[in-house]
Amino acid sequence: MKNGLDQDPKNGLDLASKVIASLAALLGTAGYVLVLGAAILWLRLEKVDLPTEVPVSLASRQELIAIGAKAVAVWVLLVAVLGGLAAWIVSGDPQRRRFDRKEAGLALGVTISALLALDSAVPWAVLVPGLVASYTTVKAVQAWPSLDAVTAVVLPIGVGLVLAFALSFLVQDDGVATLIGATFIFGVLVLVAPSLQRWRAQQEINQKALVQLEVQQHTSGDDLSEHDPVATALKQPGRGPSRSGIVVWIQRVAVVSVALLVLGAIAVASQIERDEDFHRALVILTNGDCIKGTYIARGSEQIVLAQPNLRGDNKAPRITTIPTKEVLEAQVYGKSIEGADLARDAECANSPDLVRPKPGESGEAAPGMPAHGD
Amino acid sequence: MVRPIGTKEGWAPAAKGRAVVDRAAREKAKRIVKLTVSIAVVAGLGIWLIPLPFDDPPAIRKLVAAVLVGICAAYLARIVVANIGEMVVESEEPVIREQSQPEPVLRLAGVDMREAALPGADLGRTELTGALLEGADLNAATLHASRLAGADLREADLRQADLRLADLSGANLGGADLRGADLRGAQLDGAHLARALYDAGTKWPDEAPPPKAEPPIDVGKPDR
Repeated sequence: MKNGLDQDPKNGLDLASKVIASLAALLGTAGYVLVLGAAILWLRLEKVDLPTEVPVSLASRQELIAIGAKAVAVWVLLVAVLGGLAAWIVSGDPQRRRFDRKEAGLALGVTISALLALDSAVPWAVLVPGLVASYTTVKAVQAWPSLDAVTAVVLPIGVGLVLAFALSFLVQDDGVATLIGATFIFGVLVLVAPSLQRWRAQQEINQKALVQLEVQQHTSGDDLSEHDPVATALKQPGRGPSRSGIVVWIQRVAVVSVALLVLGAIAVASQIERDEDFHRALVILTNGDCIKGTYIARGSEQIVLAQPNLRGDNKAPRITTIPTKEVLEAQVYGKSIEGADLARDAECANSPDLVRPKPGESGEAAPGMPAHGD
Repeated sequence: MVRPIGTKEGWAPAAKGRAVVDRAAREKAKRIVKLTVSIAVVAGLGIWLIPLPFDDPPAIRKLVAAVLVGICAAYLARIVVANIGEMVVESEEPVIREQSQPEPVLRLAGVDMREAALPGADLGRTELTGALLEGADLNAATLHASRLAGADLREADLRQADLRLADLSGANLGGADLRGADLRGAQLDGAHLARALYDAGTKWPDEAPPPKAEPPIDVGKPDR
C-alpha cells in the first residue's frame, strides 16, 4: 500500500512537468507572436520598397512582439467569441440542440449575403438576408419545441448578422483581408460544429455503454479484459484498426499547426493593408541636429528611420540607422497616415515639429538647443 | 420531452422512444443541402468573377451575389423551419414500441462500433437500437433476440451470425453479408436489404428471402 511519502516524488514530478509545460506554452506563444510581428514589419517594408533584412534584424524583440500582439489580439478575440458559440453548439444533444449542415448553411448564407449587400452599390439589399433571418426567427419561435432548439437555429444567424454589420462598420475600403478572414473563421467554425457535436455525443454514448459493460461484468464476477472485443470497439469508435499514439499525436499537432498558420496569415494580411503602417518621427541628436523621417524600428543600439516610397514617386527609398548613444530624444507622431522623407536639420531648435516641454518640467535645454524662454 | 427531429417520412418511433432514421430520406435531404450550398457557392463566385457590362461592376456584382446567396439562404431557411416545426413537445412518457423480444441484458443503444472486429462476439439480448455497426465484423456473432432497430449494418459481415428473434426493423443492411445467417423469427419491417448477400444457408424469417436482397447467383457457394 502506498503511503504519503511514496506519492510525494510523483506529485513533485507532476507539478514540475506542469510548470515546464506552462513555460513552454508561454515561450511558444511569445515566439509565435514575435514571428508574426517580424512578418508584418517585413511585408510593410517591402510594400514601400525599403530594405527588409536590416530593420527586421535590428528591431527589438519587444517591438516585434508588440506589433504581432496588436495584429493577432483582435483575431484571438474573434475566435474566442465565435469559438464560444461553436462550443455551445457542440456541447448540446444533437437531437435537442439540433445544428446540422442545413442550419450551418443558413447561418453562413445569411452572413455572406449581408456582407455582400452592405458592401454593394445598394446597401439596402441587406433586407434580403434580414428578411430570411426574421422569417426563420418568427417561425422558430412560433413552433417553440424548446429553448435549446430555437436558440440553436436563431443564435448563429444572429451572430452572423452582427458580424456582418460590425465588419461593414469597422472595415474600410482596404479591409478585404479582414473581411475575408473574419468570414472564413466564422464559416469554418459553423461548418465544423455539426460534425463535432455528433462526434461528442457519440463518444458520450460509447462511454456510457462502456461503463455499463464494466459494471455488468464486474457484477457477474468477470474482469473486463483489454482484449474484450466489444470494449475495444467502444473505446475506438469508427476507427477500425487502432491507430498508434504517435499517429494521433502527429495528427493533433498538424491540426493545431494549420490553425495557427491560418490565424497568423489572416492576422498578418489584415495588418498589411492598414493605412497607419508608418509614423512620422523626429530624432534629436546629442549634437543638437535633428533628423526627420519615418519611424521603422528601435533596437538596443540603433533607431531605424527611413524614407519609404509611399506615393510611388520613386524618391530613392532608403533606411538610416542612428546609434542610440547619439540620440537625445526621439519623437514619434501618432495618427499619421504617412511617414516622412528623411532630412537632417541643423537648426533643430526652429523645427515646427518639435514638441517642447512646458516651462518648469525640465531645467536644461538640449545641447545646441535654446533653453526655455530663450 | 422532445420528439426526435426529422420529417414524418424520415423518422419513426422505435423501442424506448429512440429515433429510427429512414436512411433514404436522410440521404435525400443531405443531397438537397449539398446541392443548395454548391449552387450558392458556384453562383456567388461566378457572379463575383465574371465581368458584367455595368458601370460599376464590383458593386453590382456584389449586389447580385448578395441577392442570389440570400435566395439560397431563404431556401435553406424553409427546410430548417420545416424541421423545427416537426420538433413538438410530447408527453413525458416515451414512445414504447411493443416488443416481442425478451428484456435486453445489455444496453448499447446508439453506440458507434463501425469497423469493429467482433467475430464470434456474444451480443445476444442486447439493446443495439440505432447502433452504428457499418463494416463491423460480426462473423458468427450471436445477436439472438437483440434489438437492432434502425441500426446501421451496411457492409457488415454477418456470415453465420445468429440473428434469431432479432428486431431488425428499419435497420440498414445494405451490402451486408448474410450468408449462412440465421434470421428465423427476426423482424425485418422496413429494413434496407439492397445489395445484401445471402445464400442457401441463410435462414429467413418466413423461409423466403426478401425481394431486395441479392440473389445467391452473385455469391456462389456458401463460404463455410
